[in-house]
Amino acid sequence: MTEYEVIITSDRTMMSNHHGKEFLGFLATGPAINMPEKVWMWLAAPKLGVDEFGRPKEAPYGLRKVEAKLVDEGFKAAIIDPDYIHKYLKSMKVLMVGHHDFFAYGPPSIGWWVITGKEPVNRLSLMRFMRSEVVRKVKERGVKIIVGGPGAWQWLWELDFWRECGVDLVIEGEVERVIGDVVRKALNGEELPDYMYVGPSDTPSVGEIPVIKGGSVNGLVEIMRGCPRGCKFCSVTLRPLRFIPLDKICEEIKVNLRAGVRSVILHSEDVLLYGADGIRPKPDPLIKLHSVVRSLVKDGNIAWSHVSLSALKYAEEEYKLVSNIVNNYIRVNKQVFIGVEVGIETGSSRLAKIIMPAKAAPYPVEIWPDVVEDAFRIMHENYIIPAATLILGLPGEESDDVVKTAELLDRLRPYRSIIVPMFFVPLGTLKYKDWFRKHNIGREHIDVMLKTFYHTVYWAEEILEKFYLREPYLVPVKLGLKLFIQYVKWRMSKLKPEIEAIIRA
Amino acid sequence: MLTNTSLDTHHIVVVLGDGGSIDKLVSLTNEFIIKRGVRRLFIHVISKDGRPKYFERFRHVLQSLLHCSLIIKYEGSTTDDFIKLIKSTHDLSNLVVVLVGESPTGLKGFLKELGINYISV
Repeated sequence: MTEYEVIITSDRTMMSNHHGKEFLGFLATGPAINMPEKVWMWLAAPKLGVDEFGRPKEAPYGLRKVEAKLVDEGFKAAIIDPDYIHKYLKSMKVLMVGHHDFFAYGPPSIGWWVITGKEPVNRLSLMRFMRSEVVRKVKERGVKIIVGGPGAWQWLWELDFWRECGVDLVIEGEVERVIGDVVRKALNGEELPDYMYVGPSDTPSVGEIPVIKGGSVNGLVEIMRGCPRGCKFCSVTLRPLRFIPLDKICEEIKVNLRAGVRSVILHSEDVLLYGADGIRPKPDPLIKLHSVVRSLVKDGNIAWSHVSLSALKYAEEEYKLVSNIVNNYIRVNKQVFIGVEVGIETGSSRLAKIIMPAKAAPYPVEIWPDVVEDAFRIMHENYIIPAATLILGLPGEESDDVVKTAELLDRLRPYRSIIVPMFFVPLGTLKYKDWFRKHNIGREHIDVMLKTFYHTVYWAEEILEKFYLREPYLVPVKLGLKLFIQYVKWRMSKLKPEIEAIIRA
Repeated sequence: MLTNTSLDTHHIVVVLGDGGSIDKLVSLTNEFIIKRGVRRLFIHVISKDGRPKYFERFRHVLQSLLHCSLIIKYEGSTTDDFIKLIKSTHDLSNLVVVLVGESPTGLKGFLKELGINYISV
């Protein structure tokens, strides 16, 4: 067995492919509702297949990048499933734990936590892992513990737990340039700092970003980093925009195919801006990208991680690009729809102007609600099913802004989509602002949450019936989700009079 | 790159005592970053709160510093720890020392002795 010195891992909610359905992973951001936590965990984050060394067939993409960088620099490093790290107690000198939402303080976890009053399963699972016998033994043996990833900042709010777990270093940001030095220091027994943040000037160039060595969860591959829109609530926008060359993207898809992962999630903050001229999508790079990807995955599914609604509207209205890509490269063979995350954030042009002035570009921010509706219509017509987010409690938000969001939700009702309300979490250039908490929830917020609930439940039933989880082996999961929807509908019908009384008050 | 001796990394020693203004420390640090065009900042922390408890007061500083790379390291709680840190510093001319609130006994005297300027907030 290879004597790995650097073990990279995470808890089960991260180390799962969510039944091959990325969207089901979102269940792990909520608490177990009306069912035992074990059943909820099975729905959200089933165990992954591993090889004889405990290396998962698929692993979170961020961890894969760290693994690749360390392997390229000559370290004996590997991603190991959390159930198998005990195999490396003797050889392990550094334990690296990555997560995008360690303690459920990120969106949407914090929202579900506030609404239900119950801790989300991702938090419970991570804390259980960090308190496990094996991690305790790891620490006793003097292994350095490094935690990192997009959710690393949350450790600054869990200082007792930090001390309890004996974490040596919390690291945040794009780490490709620094992680080798950090691990070298740890292996040499040198003292590590407590906290590191890799700022924009130390972000890696495209050439410094390594190609993953093993399969990524659901075939996710990065096509660009950074985002030019500059929304104030987002941390990605602080980093420079870089396009990953097509040959590198293909190489990673081939890595996934060799690992038996036949689907692809093209990951970017805005997939339609791949190869773009500023914020205007360009047909050539996008068509080339999708054509190459389809030629590689053939029968596999292609999904987009995120697109902006304005880029989508522009691409379709200027070039018929969305329908072209969907009809010729995505909805071919067995694939009937494409899923994607989109951000509505607010229905108020006034607030949009303050908080995300370039979100509607190249359209004027004053028509943001129209941009949203047009994009939803285009997606509906092209079998693109968005999971859309709204942010409640943005700094500077007024009651009228929330009313505008509620009005926009009415306009979006005819379009097939899942809409999820999130509570403001201080990130990006708004990092110094206060969180949105339970006592900040007003009548208007409740109205918006109710509207999203009815919208989402209505469309979720149709999506489950006609599009989602069609594979025979997923029948039990589908049944579980249908039962869950029936339960929350029934629960809401009981609560509705009380909630409506609050709204009327 | 992000090491103790890296030439393009600026160093600040923050001594966190009882009281003092963290807000002032935030504005001071931001001013320092802008004035010197700092892209990488190494903050050494002396605090009797211990590690990692000192972040309870210190995290507000981190939240406001988004545009440069940061390293934060706990260096101890006493004047002796501070002296040890200063003695291991290669270049004292560029060192910035910030005393937040009450500082440990004998620390200001030591700084005067070595001719190191400090800022109290």
